[in-house]
Amino acid sequence: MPWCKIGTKSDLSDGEVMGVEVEGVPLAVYNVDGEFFATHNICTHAFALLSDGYVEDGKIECPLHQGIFDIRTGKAESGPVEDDVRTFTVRIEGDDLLVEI
Amino acid sequence: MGSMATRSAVIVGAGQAGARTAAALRKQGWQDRILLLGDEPDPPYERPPLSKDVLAGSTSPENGRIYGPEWYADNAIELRTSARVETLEIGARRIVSGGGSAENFDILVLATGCRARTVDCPGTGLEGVLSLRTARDARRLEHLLGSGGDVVLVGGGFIGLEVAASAVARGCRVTVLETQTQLLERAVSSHVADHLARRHRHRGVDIRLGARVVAFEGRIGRLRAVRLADGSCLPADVAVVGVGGIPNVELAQAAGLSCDTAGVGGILTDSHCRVADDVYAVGDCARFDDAWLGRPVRLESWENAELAPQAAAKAILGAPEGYGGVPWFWTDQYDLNLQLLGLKQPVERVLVRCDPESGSFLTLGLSEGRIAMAALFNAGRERRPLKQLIELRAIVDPRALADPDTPLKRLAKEAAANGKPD
Ligand SMILES: Cc1cc2nc3c(=O)[nH]c(=O)nc-3n(C[C@H](O)[C@H](O)[C@H](O)COP(=O)(O)OP(=O)(O)OC[C@H]3O[C@@H](n4cnc5c(N)ncnc54)[C@H](O)[C@@H]3O)c2cc1C
Repeated sequence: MPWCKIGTKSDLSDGEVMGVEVEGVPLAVYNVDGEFFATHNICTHAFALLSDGYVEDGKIECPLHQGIFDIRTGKAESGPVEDDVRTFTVRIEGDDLLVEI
Repeated sequence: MGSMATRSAVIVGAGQAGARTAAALRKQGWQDRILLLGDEPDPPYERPPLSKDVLAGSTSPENGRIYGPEWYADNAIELRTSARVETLEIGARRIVSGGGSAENFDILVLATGCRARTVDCPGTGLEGVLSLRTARDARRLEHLLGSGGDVVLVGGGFIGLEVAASAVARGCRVTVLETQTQLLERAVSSHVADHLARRHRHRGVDIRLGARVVAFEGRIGRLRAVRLADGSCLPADVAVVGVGGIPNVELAQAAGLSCDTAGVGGILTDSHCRVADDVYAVGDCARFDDAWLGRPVRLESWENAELAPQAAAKAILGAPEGYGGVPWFWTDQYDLNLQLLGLKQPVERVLVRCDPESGSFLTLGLSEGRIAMAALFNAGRERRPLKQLIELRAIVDPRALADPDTPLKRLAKEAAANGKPD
């Protein structure tokens, strides 16, 4: 399982999310109160990119149908989503953000 | 009731609202029988993809199924498809299905939805003239679009415009006919409608406003042309009639339940989705007393079919909460995801936030210093803070709203803090 660089800490300010693709896997990367997290970028309900969504209180709301996931655990919390979204561990090295795919 | 044998919750109509009611009842703790009856052959599915990805050929209606077959078994939901309920006997707490089989209920939920309105003119029976409501309609239409040709949309509403976009993607020549002087007259401001019209025209769609169909003309049973009131005639291989929905209230009406007969129709409920003792109605078929709007509305939206069942289940399980909120709707056309917050209403001014040329922007209708309605063009991220601002009925500085450098999230936070009682 290689660790891949997905960006730097300065790419994301607090409360922001961005989309990246690593080894063909679309990821959403989040900054929640200075901590970094990553989930699969595609909502488990229908095709929508979570990186276009809205971050608040450690949750991401899908931009299309209001499905809400916990960013840390990927747990589907409300809305139409039944399946949890996959999460990925983020490691910080210096200013770099790395993800294990 | 309670202490006796198992109780039965019977849900009539196995669309989105029916299926979600079954799920909400189970999730919220209903331990007894749940029977879900629907007259379509398909198990419950979501309709929004039917006019979009399904017609574009990129998915099938089966992908829109709300739950897989195991789910019904795992949750002990008895689903009966191709089962039409013919009569409700409210006093006897009984429903009768086609073929005469009867079922007793302790709780009855009506989720009968809408059917497509038709146009009253000759030729609607020709092959090639159809409306789009069900998976079956979508499969048929998808097949017809596959051969390209001339497609005429009768009605410039959401379904007509989405089908237009999908037909363009399939390489068809497309005309949209609308009797009003703007598209989506009932739902959006002229500003938003003009923007959509430009997008469609840019893709080669012929949009004709103030155009009324007087006949579908054909040969050997097949559609060939659509004739307009001004005498002109358009060649057509396919005509899709999308002129709105009619709520399926006849069953409730015949049983003596209160229905709206004067206005937009619908089975009348209070703000807990309750029609009468032990009888509830949810989704497209219901005209409910909206706790946030403070008046009755009937909504035809995915969101309402999603949320009303939650409210109904709460009321059924003895923890009623007023149902209502800022109505939300979305439509996808070409590469545009348009989301709408709030119902159409007269506004004093319209603000545009962000550059429309960028492809991602908002238009905000203001009334008495508050946001009354909002249209989000490829800007779903802004839905949450905007919805909060509308919900709070916050007075907002129009300059801050129009300034893309002032985050809406901040405005919403400020409004929430101001709105808190000391
Ligand atoms: C093509 C299309 C595209 C749409 N796109 C969007 C969109 O982009 N965004 C959005 O917000 N909304 C959209 N909608 C609206 C949304 O799909 C509806 O609001 C939603 O489906 C309503 O759910 P419902 O369960 O109330 O009604 P329905 O889904 O209509 O389900 C009602 C069911 O009850 C059945 N029934 C009726 N009478 C009986 C009876 N007597 N016995 C047994 N069964 C009965 C009906 O056949 C039907 O299967 C779209 C709708 C359509 C048709």
